[in-house]
Amino acid sequence: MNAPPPLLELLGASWKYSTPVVALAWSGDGNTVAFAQGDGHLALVDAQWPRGPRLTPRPGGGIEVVPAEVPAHRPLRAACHQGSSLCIAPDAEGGFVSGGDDGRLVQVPKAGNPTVLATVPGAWIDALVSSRSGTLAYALGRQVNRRTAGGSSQIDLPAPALALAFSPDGQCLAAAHSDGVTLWPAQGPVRRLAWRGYHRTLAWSPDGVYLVTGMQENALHGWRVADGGDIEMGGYPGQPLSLSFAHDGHFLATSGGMRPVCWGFDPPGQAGQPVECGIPSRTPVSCVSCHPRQNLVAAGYINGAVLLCRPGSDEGLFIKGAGGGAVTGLAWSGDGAKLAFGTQEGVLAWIGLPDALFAARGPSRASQLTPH
Amino acid sequence: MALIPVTVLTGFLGSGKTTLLNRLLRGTAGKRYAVIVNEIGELGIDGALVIGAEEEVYELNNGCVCCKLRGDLLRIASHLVRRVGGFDGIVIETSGLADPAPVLQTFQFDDLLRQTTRLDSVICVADARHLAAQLHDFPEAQAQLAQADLVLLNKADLADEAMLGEAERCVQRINPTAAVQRSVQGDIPLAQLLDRGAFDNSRLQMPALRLGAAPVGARGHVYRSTGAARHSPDVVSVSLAFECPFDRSRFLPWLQRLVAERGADLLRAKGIVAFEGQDRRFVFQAVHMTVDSGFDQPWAAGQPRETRLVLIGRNLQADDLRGELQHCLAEPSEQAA
Repeated sequence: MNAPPPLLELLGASWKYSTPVVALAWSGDGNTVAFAQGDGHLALVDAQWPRGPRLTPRPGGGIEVVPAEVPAHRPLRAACHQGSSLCIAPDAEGGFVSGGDDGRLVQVPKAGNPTVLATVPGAWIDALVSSRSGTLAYALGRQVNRRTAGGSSQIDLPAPALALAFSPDGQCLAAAHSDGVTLWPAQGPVRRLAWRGYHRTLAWSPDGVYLVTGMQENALHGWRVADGGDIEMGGYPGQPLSLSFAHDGHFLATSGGMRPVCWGFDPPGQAGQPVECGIPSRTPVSCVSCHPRQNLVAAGYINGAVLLCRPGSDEGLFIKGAGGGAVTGLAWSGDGAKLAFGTQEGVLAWIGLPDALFAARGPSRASQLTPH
Repeated sequence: MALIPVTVLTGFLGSGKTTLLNRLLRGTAGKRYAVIVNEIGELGIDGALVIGAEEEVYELNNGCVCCKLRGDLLRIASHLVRRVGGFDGIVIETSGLADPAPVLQTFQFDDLLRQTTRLDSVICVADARHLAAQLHDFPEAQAQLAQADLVLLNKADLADEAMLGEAERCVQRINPTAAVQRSVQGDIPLAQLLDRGAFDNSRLQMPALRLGAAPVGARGHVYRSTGAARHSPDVVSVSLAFECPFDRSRFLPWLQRLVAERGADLLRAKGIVAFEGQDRRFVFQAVHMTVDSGFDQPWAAGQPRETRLVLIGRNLQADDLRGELQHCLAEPSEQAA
């Protein structure tokens, strides 16, 4: 029996460049995805594909793919940095902002034509995030800057910033660094959440009640933001550097193991041990991303495979098979209709995943999918 | 995708390290290096990839005092590996007083860096005239020498033969596994500095044991050894050789126990080991409690299968270690079987 081809070949589009994908982001409207590349370019892809592949119900069950009538839009590459792009975030106008190791902060509309917003010679822009309202925050070593339409302000951290994240309401900026997290609210004083160790990545729960970091010590650390209460989560074989909360906040999915690891957050600690999901694997997970509306986790692996799975289930649906290097970026569009990913060896890809695919019995349903 | 080689350059202030770095940055045979330094001001090459890193050492919060990382180095190296293709290797300069072990452990403990880079070598630049005095005055200098696989005795033109001889004896005493090169203004061919493969077990070279006297009656003995054995905060090396093969099921637990219990004192260890009933060499290297080991090429036909170990650290007793290891040798009856 032949295994069905990975979904990417049926429903998506991919390209390969000779430079790694560093990070990726969807535009606020979900129409464009941008890949930050190791050679200083942003590759912008128009993900509107009205005459792309479609799904139709098949008589007798299952679904059938009607192939694309025209090819997908090709990436538009915009030269942004002298060295590498290090981070990327959507802006409020459907375009993107990129930070690089040339100290430049560059704005790129979806049509290309980058403009330099700021330059700090000799510095690296290590991290960059935007809030839905368009506030931009970026870090250069210990310094964190916040830019709004009204102006900009900055604070200094006790150690270089390793990650930034806005609270879901966009009011509070969190910066991870060694020995804890600094909270910088729009109003009021800066606060510190201390925990010894090296905090490399950040995730807010969707209700803004919890903040979790992924640590170099193969562990997570969480805080109840209101009172600073600690939550310890450990036992990883590797570093959990990709964190993603489920849309309803019931669980937190992470990398750091051979399968996605899901911690119950309803409330945290209630469920005891975390559960793994997806097919058993010998390859570590490098990226996870929870679907913005459904109980689905997309997982990227260091061998280049991309899978969809459900928390608590051992089943998985291959979006892409192994190859092309470690998955370095993975994200759903805001409406959950599309998934984009990129790899260390330069693959960049996106795929349309309509809800019909998951309608009946979860991802396994789509294994009945056949090419037209 | 090829792993990016990482070279660590250590050495005291005034040893000529910056001169050497500048030579590296000017490029060799079209190769480009990303150089991570703690003082960016001293280097001035236009267009070169020079990055400043805070020399922030932090203990990995896992209960082990010898597991340390350079946090800022981790941040910078994690970004650099995404820019593959722009350069051929990474060179990390440490300040004069820094122990290079946290730099090595940063690359050994991190998942992403392990997947994308390989440690290539630790080069220690020393002023040939002052090495002996610096080793006496600064424990950091001993740690640097202990970790090195190449020691450049620089400013050799300013030192007389007695100084050079004394410096070479110092290196030999602390780290007999290191290659020693005399140099003037770092004038060593750059090809000899890079791609040394010092952390590649398949290229592991063990020094011939230098005994004070001729190996009298060596044939009749099961082992020989050299090494200072004394209680002292000083770094010493213990070199051991065994002509009898080891019992794998005893040797491996011994090695595990050694690095677990004495990892803080053990700066560096290397060995090529003969196991009873195994035709291939077992090779290992350790930095504190991090061990990299595996079976390597077969022993050469007709050559003696001699186990050689070099342990470098503080409070190492050659006699005790030899005694422990003798209990790990394969039983004579097993050898006959």
